[in-house]
Amino acid sequence: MDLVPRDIISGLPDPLISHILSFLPTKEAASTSIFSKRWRFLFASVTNLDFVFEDDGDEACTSFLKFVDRVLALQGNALLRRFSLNCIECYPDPVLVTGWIHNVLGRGVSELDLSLSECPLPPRIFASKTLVRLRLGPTEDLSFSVDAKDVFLPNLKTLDIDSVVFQERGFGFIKLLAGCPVLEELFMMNIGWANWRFCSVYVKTLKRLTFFCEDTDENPQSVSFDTPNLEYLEYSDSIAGMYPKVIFSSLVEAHIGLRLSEDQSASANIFSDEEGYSPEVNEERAMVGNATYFFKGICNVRILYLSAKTLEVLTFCCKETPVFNNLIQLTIESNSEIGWDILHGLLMNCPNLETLVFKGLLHKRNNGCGDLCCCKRLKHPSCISSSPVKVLKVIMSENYDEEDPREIEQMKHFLKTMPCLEQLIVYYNTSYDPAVFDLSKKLQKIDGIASPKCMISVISQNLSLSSTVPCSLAMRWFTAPPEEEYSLSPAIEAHSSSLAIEAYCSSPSDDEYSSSPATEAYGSSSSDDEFLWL
Amino acid sequence: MSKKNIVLKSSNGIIFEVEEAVALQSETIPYMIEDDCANDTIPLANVTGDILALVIEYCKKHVVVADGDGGGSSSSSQEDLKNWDAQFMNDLDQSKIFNLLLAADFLNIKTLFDLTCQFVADTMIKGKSVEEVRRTLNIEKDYTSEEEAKARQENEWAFK
Repeated sequence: MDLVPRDIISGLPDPLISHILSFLPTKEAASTSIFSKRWRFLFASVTNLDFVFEDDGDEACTSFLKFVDRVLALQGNALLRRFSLNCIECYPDPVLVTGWIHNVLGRGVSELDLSLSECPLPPRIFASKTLVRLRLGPTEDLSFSVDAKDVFLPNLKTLDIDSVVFQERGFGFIKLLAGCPVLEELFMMNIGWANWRFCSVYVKTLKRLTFFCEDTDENPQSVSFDTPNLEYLEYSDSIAGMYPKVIFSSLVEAHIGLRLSEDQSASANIFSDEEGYSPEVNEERAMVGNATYFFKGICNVRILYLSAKTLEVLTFCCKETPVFNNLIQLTIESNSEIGWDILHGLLMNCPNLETLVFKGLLHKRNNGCGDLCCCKRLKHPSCISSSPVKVLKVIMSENYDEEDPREIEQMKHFLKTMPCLEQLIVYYNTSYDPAVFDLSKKLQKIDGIASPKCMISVISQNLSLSSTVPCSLAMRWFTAPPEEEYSLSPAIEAHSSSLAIEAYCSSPSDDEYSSSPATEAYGSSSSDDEFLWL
Repeated sequence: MSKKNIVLKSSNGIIFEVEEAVALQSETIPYMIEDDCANDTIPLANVTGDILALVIEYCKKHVVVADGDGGGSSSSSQEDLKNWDAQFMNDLDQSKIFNLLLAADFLNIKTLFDLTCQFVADTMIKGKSVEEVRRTLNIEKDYTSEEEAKARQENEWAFK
């Protein structure tokens, strides 16, 4: 690393150095105090305080608490932007902590992040006029108990609560939300709504909601949403006993990870093991729970992600398969435990679908897949042979086995059946290049492709192989296209700096081919790509 | 819609003509226009041409994205922009980084200022030993060992 000329770093005024130190955890910022005499107190002028206690032992804890106390004392009444205190392992005296919190609230803090154990939350937090972001938890026994008249957070845009205990359960939660008139983003995780009589998210201003409960076996009794301006929803939980109100009039994107409880799942297995059972054939559906109203509520969505277990929920907890008239992109997570029974009907109900993404192709082979699947065909009306889908993306299973022909067979089936397909993009998370070439070759060899022209791309950690079929089988591996066609879109440059080689395979006469379609599709696609590239 | 251009002149006399929307990401420039610092050209006495070119590159990239987003959830374009920012910073040497930081402060372009500060914190200080940072940033140690021990003692927990 080259040296910085002396005049530059020492020429920076103190406030600039303090601003730089504001981007460090306070522990690290404070370690700069021994650089030189000038640096001794610079860290104390940071506008963000970020205290994280990760050690254990009483001595370390005492030293930590002394440090927090000292830094706050050094700061005096200076304006503070962010205060974060994360010390679950250390049990500070609530009186001390309350003093700190009152200190930073008094200094106009706009971001507060508390992760504490066994500590009642000081009510003054919920009457702050300056807070914009509030994060509470993850914690043990951090409890919320404040009178409704005392909750007023007029500037709060983001609320993130994890494992907070609400003394008055659903009522307490309603009180908190009612005091946030401009809330736009809400993350609620593991706050125990499974034990509440009801859990209601009623916030007119809300744009993004994450509603998450880790794998417990309890079904919440009742969950309601009245969020007419919500654009983005992430919902992972066991299905609720009922959904009295579900209003998502502006929804654009939803990631649904609903699941059955163990009992429900057991009943569902009995149904699905019955020979010949199929939700489309059996008029009277076997129901083990009821999420019909929830799915009706999200029917305007444009981008939808469904976890494998959600497919099970759709199969066994919906009176009829929901219709998604606005849906343009659907992502299906697949695993070998769960069947595709519902997909057939679901795809029939997405008349405007343009992009279909499969995260994994292995699934439990039931009777009900219809022509979607190559495993076993019933005399169903077709769903994919009339599908309008133009772009199909497949994210190969993590443990894709080259010897196992199932995934290739499935892709072959899609190519041979889907009439409007313009692109098949396969994401193969491997750095072993020969396997990527091999997969690409196998896909090229497929004949009888249903659509008049389909571009097939295989994208791996190092490679991006594209070709348009039908094409001649004479392939020109490693023949670089002319210079001007070779430019990558900025998106892909930024995404994968490891994109070492660009190799192309194309028919010589195919003048429409260029490097861009695959990369564009890749760059413009939304979250589904993250699974692979993160 | 008429697009107005603004002419900026660097300390070493290099002229840049940019769209108004690009220049107005700086909160300083509007004052200079109001004060009518110059009839047509705004002189930036603290910013050299190579740094001003970088500032403009950054502002152009960010203005396009601010325009192009038709609302809704644009997480992917936000993500692209973040990647672009990271690449942009990575391509600079240290002297350019500090000059860019000063320019962003002077021109009051908040996002660029935070980006450069964050970058300095992450790449030059974070996770590095005291000696290492002193060396990289060329900071002269003017503590005696007793003074240093005392400074260490004051924030004991920070050195655990």
